[in-house]
Amino acid sequence: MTSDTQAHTLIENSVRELVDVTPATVAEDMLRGNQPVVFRGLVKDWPVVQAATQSYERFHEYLKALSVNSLVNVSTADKSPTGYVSYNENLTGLTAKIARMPFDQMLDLLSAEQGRPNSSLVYMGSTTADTCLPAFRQENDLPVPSDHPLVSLWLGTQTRIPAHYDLPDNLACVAAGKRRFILFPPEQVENLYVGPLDYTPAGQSVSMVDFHAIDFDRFPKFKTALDHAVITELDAGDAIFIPSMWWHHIEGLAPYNLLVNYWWRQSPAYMGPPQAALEHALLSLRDLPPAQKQAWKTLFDHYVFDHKAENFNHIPEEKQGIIGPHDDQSARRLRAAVLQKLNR
Amino acid sequence: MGNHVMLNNVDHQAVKIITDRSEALGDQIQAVVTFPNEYRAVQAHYPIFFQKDAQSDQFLSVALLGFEQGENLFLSDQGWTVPYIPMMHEKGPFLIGKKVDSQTGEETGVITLDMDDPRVNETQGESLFLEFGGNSPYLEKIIHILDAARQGVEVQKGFIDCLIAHDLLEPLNVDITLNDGSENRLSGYYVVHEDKLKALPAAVIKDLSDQGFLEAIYMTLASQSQLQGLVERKNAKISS
Repeated sequence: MTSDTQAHTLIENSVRELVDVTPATVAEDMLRGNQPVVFRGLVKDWPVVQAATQSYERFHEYLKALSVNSLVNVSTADKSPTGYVSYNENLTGLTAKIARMPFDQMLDLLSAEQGRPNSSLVYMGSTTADTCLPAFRQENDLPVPSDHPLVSLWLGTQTRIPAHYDLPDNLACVAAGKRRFILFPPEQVENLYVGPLDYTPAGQSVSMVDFHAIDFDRFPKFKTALDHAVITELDAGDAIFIPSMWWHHIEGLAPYNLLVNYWWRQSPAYMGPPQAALEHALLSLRDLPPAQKQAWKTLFDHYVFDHKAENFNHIPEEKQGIIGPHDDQSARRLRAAVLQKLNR
Repeated sequence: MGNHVMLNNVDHQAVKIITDRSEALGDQIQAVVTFPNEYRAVQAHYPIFFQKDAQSDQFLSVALLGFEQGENLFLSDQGWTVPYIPMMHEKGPFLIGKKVDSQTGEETGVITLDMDDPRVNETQGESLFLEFGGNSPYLEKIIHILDAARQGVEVQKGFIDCLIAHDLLEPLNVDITLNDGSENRLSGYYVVHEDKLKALPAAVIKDLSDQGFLEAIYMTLASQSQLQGLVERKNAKISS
């Protein structure tokens, strides 16, 4: 594996960093721009960070004391010592398999890999903090600009999660170990060689480029993606804001790594998943004759993408119907109408 | 057991379900499991009794349709003779199953279809899916029934645990003399013991009422008057 096929050696730009941000001011700072930002030392005072920085044993003890031994999903892979969690060669399967087990058993598996030269993958991804470790956030928490963020734990050996985007805004805090983040703005999708929409390793579509062994013959446009990428490495206590829809490739670099992340949306809960609109568009728009498709593009711009309320001032407000402003009641009516039209 | 497969709109796009009622289609049944959330409709036509399930040794409630195995006195050559069919029978060859995601271990509810059921075919009856894969009104109705049955199972468990906790079930023994002079004894069923019910402290009655169980109990008591109707159906059958 030569270094010029490894993404992290080929990226020039780093993620912008803010210093002196405290947990009390982070929410405001984050929302200043729709750009990724690193906050050095944001959560350095968390007890979990202190424990993890001392030793694996202290870290293990800390988690064990909070454990209620709830069932968690754990990925393991004997044949993937690099920790790559993605598709196998022909997309006939995945490189890791998932088993459900008590959290204490997960900790035992993690302990067994410590100090081994070629550790195997042990990875508990995207696990709700409050169900896994109900008391965790009493000591380790942050204010984010949402009343009900989804707070998740990501615990494991060295892992490598292929580039993907998530719908919510994301504040990711490294609580133990070291993590490398490589980020791409949303418009880089065409250069990332994204895999299937409906067959995914963990719910989201992922780039099929292996960032540790880039096959530029197969993925030539990935060079362009790298030109637009930003990179950073975070130690325990550091945090990064990943804006909604930004592609991110995340590597756990230490023998044990814990990430705590906050997900929240800046949109009302009644809104539907945009992915469902995309899937419906694949069914109903993509294969229209070109002229019709172009006409629909214009309509979509008019009503959706370039929506301006003043374009509809010629319609009395009470008659604007579904093009008028939405609330949870109008959303219910529109959802019912869409459901009915879909069912054919 | 049947041959249950997970229902989907690709493999089963042409499947139709015969909704006629006949012996050949499996409607000649003596009793159907019933749940408290349908007692109101069931007691209008059928006696509701409690019975110990031979397999699980748990009590459950049944709507009685006949006096002998394989006898449904509500089935005629013209079909089912009363408008309400208990949902565990109305649901037809469908069940709610669980699909376990091999990646995450997460369980989601799915509908299964028994491909060996005589109602399942591709030429007659109700379509499951619309022309382009949407759910047919019939399938929507089945989904509604399955969901109600799923809720009924949960309600039933709490209801019967409560009846047992207050020692309210007593065995039923009824002697029935039919018009042909034959003497028959109905046994193996249980009913709510009315005297014990009346003797319960007010606080317990209040608690039963708050949980909706008091209403359910009186529905089963009221349903007992349907036993006479069932005897008349039997008499009509032996005299014909």
